[in-house]
Amino acid sequence: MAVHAEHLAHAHSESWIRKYVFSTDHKVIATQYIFTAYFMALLGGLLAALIRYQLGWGDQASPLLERLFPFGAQGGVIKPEFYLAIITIHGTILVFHFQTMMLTGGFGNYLIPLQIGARDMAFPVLNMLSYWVFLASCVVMLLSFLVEGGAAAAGWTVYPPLSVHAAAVAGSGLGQTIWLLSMALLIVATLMGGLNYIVTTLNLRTKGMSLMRLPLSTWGVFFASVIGLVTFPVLLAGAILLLLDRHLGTSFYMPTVYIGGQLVETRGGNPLLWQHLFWYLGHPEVYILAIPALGFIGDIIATFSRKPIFGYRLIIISFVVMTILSCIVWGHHMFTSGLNPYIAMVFSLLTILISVPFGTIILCYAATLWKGKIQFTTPMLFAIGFLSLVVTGGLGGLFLGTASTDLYLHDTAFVVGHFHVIMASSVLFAIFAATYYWFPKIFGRFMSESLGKWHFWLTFIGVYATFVPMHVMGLGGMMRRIYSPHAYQYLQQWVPWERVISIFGLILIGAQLLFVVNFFWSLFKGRRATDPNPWRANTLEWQTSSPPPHLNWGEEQPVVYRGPYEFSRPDTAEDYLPQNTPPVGVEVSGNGVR
Amino acid sequence: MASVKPLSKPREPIPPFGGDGFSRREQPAPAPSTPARWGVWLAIFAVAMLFAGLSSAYLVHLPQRSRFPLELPSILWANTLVLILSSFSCQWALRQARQGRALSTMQGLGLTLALGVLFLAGQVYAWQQLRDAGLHLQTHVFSSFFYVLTATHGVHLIVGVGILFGVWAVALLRQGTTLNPLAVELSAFYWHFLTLVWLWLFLLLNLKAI
Repeated sequence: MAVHAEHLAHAHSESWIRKYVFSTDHKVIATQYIFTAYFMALLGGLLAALIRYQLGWGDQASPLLERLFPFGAQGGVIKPEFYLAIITIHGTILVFHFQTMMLTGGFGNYLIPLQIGARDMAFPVLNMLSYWVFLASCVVMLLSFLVEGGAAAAGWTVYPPLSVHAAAVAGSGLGQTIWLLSMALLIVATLMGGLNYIVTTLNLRTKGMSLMRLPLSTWGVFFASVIGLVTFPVLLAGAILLLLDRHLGTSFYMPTVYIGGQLVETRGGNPLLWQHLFWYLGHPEVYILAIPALGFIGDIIATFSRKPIFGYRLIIISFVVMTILSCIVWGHHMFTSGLNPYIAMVFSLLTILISVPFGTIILCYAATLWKGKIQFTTPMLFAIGFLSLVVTGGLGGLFLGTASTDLYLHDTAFVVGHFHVIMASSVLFAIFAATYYWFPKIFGRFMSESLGKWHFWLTFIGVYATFVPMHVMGLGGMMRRIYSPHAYQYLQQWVPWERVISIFGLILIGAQLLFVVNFFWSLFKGRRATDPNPWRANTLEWQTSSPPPHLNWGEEQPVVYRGPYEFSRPDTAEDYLPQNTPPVGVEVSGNGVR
Repeated sequence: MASVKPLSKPREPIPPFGGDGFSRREQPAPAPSTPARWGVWLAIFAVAMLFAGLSSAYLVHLPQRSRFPLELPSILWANTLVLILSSFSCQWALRQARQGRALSTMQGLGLTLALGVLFLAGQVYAWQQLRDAGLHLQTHVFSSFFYVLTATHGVHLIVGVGILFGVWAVALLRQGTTLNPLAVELSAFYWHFLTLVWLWLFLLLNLKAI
């Protein structure tokens, strides 16, 4: 972060700690979010490598593993309870600590004030607190690997009774409690951030920035924050009850069961209650990720197609419909839980229905590409890759959203392949696209295009080669979350598949090193972005210097005269028209107002 | 008033939430208080969703209610009355604040604070009565719910007491010379919200079956 120190120094003078550590400047906070979230992504990726190693070659001992994890991999073979901890933390930190926080806390935080022409967030101190609570959540979550019994091992969905009863699995000891505390911190951080983004978008828009002139990125983060505000507190309620069940002897979730041959007596609990409370957040969470991702991709596609976005209003209406529908489809995760078949049918219908707004947006983006002057820059490649993944993943979703086929596919590798394509990979592509696109604005230097293109192609091929075969395995009966396919007679046929997937998976993870190298190399040595608007984009963040000064604008905040996507207008010489360019014939006085 | 000529488009977008700055009538600039108001409303909404989550957990257990006997302490009715009265006094204080009467505002807030503390004491008394009747947190799922719902509401009410006390103390330090009606308004809004939540929870706890 020291890279742009000299750019900010002239604008305001405060101690180094106030400026870069406990800063209330949304740009610094966003940068902190971006670094922290990428760090969590690296850890999550390393855990993924362990998972792929175990599924591919789990029957062979490796001295290296024993040296790396003396407790988790005694004898060079990953222990089952360690494997369960790995998949739990892999899922949790990549969904929550990486993707959620990167999209809203990182890029959302950076872009909202710049794109609406504001000087900062509505509540800068709250913004800072949100980051520090998030950092605490990260630290607490990682510490759980060090406690007795290891990290939480009940899967990222932490279903009871596995997650309630300490004797159920080693990770359900202290590790599970720490998981819940970390999630509670993360929920608080998300709520503080989300509240801030909503208020800022509604209240701090500059003169002329009507809601229908907002860039899609800002809209995306706005709707994600709305969904977060509706659903995250419900998970908090569920987590409180789970903590009480674990530590104060209540039985909200615990039925009377035998665990390890021991009768565990309880008093009227209902394990399905957790599934409802969890998925009431868990499914909207997909849209907390998808809607900002769609917003960023919209900005990038319009800029590199040199065309106005097709159906701007339609896209926003689709966002609204997705926001509403996303909160009433959670039951499709519970088709096998004994849900009333009529309710399952309703959830099925609603789930299929949500593909209408989703498909509408994808079609709008395809129509934007249609006959555009497409520039295949790295961000554009990732944006197109995003569209490809969303379509592929959406097709798998049809089978899982339909209750009858889901009964067969539930808890198989099909599900794992599906959500890794539609959620994990597509959102990852959106995050990469956003990073390559806004890197010059955030750090004042470009990322390397040639490394970026290698990164794109390896990642694109890696994602398809890793996750599409999982669909096939799932159809053939390969269960998810299984410790080792080698140990079961009926899964022997999938061992070679697992190995091939592991090879591609490790290539995919290895390809991310290119990104890490590119990121840090460009941070210090990349080509300088002397032009504040190198992509010739229209939105406001490109109309201030790179990186923007403290308080974002010079003396006067910009004034907005038009929508964000006026590319290739026949009546202008350039093929773009920034939002703050006054129309011809309008006299602009000193303060930028007519 | 002469209408302003359209700028880039023949049709101006309809200005939502304070306008786009170019509307036909000259609008007053948005009050600086607006973000604070939005912020508090959204925070209250998030808390409401927390209680919605807990309530839905309670409701799905409700069909088994008859198997788990739980007599609610009768003092809860008195507590409910106290909390409703506190909301009235809070609203009265807000009206005084809006009319610029600092002294009566402080009296109203003081009364609200006293009633709020009285409510909390009553809740603790109810807990003691339940405990003496042998109903503990672990006894069965409905006793658990009783403690969890009342405790969650109580914690939020303690926060509310803290906020009201802060407003009241600031007014006291300034000897009633200046009083920010917005601070009173927002804390009063939160207070009314907590009263409504309690009424809802009390209704839930009184439901015998669904």
